[in-house]
Amino acid sequence: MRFCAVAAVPLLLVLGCDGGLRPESPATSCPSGICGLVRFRGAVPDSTDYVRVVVYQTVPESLDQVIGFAGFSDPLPLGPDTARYTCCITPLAPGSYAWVLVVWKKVGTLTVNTAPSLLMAAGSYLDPADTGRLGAVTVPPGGGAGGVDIVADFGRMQSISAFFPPAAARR
Amino acid sequence: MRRPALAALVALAAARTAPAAAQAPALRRVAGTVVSATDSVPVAGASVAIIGTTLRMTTDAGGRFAFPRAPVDMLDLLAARIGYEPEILSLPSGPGDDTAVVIVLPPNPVEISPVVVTASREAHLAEETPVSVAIATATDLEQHATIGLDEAIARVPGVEIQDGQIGIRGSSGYAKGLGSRVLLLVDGVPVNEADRDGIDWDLLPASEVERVEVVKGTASALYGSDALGGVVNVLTREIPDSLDLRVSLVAGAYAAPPYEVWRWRTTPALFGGADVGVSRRLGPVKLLLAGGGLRNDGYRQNNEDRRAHGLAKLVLVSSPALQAELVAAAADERYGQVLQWCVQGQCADSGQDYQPFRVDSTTLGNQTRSTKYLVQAAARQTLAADLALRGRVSWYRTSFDDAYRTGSDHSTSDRLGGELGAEWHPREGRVIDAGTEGTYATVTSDLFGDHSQTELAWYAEDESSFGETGRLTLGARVDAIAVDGVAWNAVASPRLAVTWAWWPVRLRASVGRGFRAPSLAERFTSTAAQGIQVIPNPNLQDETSWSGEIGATAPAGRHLALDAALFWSEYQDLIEPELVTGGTQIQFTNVTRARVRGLDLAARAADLVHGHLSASLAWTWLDARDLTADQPLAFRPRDLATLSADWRSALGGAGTVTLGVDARLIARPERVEIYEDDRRVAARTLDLRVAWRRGGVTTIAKVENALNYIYTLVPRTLEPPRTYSLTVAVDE
Repeated sequence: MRFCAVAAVPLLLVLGCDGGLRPESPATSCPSGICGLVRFRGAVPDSTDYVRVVVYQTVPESLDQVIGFAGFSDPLPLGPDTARYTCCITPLAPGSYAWVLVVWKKVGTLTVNTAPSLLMAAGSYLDPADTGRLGAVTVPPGGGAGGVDIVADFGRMQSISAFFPPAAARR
Repeated sequence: MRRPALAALVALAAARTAPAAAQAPALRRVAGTVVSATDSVPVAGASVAIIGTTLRMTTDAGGRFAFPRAPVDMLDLLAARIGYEPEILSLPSGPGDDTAVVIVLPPNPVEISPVVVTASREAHLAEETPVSVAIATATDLEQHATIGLDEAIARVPGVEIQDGQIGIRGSSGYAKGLGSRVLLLVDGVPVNEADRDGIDWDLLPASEVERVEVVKGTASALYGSDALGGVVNVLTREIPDSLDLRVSLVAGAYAAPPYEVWRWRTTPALFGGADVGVSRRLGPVKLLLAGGGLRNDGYRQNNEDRRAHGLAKLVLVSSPALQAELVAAAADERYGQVLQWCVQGQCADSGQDYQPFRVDSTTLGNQTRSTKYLVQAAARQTLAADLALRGRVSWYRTSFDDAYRTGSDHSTSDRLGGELGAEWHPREGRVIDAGTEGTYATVTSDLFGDHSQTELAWYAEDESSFGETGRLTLGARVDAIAVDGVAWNAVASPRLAVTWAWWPVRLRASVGRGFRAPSLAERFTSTAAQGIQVIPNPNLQDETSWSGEIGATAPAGRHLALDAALFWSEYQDLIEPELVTGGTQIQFTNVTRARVRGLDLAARAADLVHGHLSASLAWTWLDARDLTADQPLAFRPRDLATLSADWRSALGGAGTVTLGVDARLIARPERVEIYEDDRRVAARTLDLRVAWRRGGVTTIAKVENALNYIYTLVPRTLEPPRTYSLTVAVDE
């Protein structure tokens, strides 16, 4: 009988526990990484491979740096007018990120050389105080940065290399 | 002449041997019956062996056994069966036949001493194996109304199955089923898939399984690649002489999600299936035929599943010296592909962050068809009392066709295998087992390309007794592997193991090297998943390990048995999927040096409360670390615990009823490799059973996950909610 009593302890623990996954409304803040809302404008091009939010620590200045993402999100759903995102698939380290943008990728194999033709910036997170400038985002240690909303306009996309400094773009 | 049980174990360990065949040995016929001490009822399915020789067999439905060519010298007959104490009966020397031997087995529900065959190629009592072995018997499978073998194996202490991928004591995490570190055997024959090295749990119907042996720990010294983390050996049903007909029907339903906002259908999701099996002896052969199917609406969107399977087994029984069997199995499954659940914006999300029962609308209708065919033949010829030869050939074909909205994939793979081996008892208490094995695997696939892998292996193991109760095992295996016929690579896997009895404790210790060759899929996969490209790595190297274990098992009174094991593995070059080229592509690479260590504790009790209650409790503690990145290994929980209890009562002439409960805890893994920011919880499930058995009919009502606890083992992959089922099984 002593064994029964001992054996019953974990059973009671199981029975007594609650928890498990529960419904969650979209958070205005995120526990880690960067999250926000993407608002789409324009028609999605036919040759779309995927659209993601991509994060850079510094704005890339050359093709070599283009594939040096700090992280990227899941592909965004393209049906609705808006998509909530959380970045990134792999954990984003605390720190400052100079460029958070929505990237459209054309169908094709992505390499350093094909990046200018396959990767297009559809929209960037802008500085709320000066919407003419890119907005830097800081991910605090042990927390996340929410409200990083972006407008992605498929009608006004630019090659990722268009953001290089003029001298670097010529290289 | 009868010896008590413990003495029997000791005596077996220091086994006497029959005379060596220096000259033509004199022979006699030894035959008899194994009966239960309680009621003298014949015990069918008991293992009977002449200790120190190659002679062994299983009793028939009448409990009968016969050795027509036994030595004339004094010999010890061992009989063992689950639920009984093993017994040794000594027969004096003499030229005359001894055909009326009766071996009486005292029931002992705690002293579970079945003969196991996977921990070494020699049959052993479970307590005597030098590594930890868990066993799920046909009775276990029946009492739990098991549909899939993965259900039964997931109940084994220290084992976790994550979306079909098995990990034993933390050996594997989750990699979409690619590159299993556990080897699956069917009646001792390897049947991991040739392309992905994965395991198909639906190949055999659970109703046609005699028992499942799970070896916890590296077994590469015996079985080579894939046995890095352990071995699962599925032994098909033994066939009685008389006609045996089995029919099993199951029907069930999934509970609605516990939250209204997650409801995804207006009617309950249902499932149902049937299995039929028939077997009997027909002259010199025994035959088993079985078939069945299952249809399942699925508990998630796009999760419909239809499967059918068939099994045939033919055993030649014309000659006691020759054991030969042929097994053929086929399975076909069509199911909806659920890659992961939907997050906001991907489906009718009702304003939720995620919808665990729904999938991305763009993947609705994605389907997979999977087929498997297995044919294997094995034979064991006893040449003399001290020498037996064995051989086997096998062919295993698997194929799948994915039909997605965005395109299709297909793969067909074949695994051809063969083995020749010998078992020799050169002197008292010593067994030498040696052999050679070959495997040729091919794949034709738009995902993996067209490739082949050739494996040749040579193994030898020497097991000998020392002192009064000790046994020492020293063995090694050399595997040579070539991919596409070139770049041969050889790996040696030695093993040293020892067992000894220090009354009343039986101690075991082992250390060995393990390895796993990369699967063809890990080397050559070229595809895109979720918008990320997976690129091949033909230069992938083997992953290796050094593993050790120290364990002890002991009875604690008549009703309780205890087992404890400390285990430790050091892994080199573990193969993991890695983000490369700046995170735009995934490639399998040898990246990780890792350590997995832990402790297994288990207790089982029987015959409590006037024989009504039996129970088992097990806990595994794991410390699994990626030493390269100095972080926990992904997908390994810190704790796994299981509790099972059964209360049996006789209902007079109305049969017996059993109330059962199974509880399981899998701690929240400290780290996962994808969606690390998702909320994760521990897995806590409670299953309840009521079984009523009358005559040959068993009716089982079962509620799994009775608390309707919502959880995942793999991120964004929902585990089943509360599930109701009713099973009726007829065995005549």
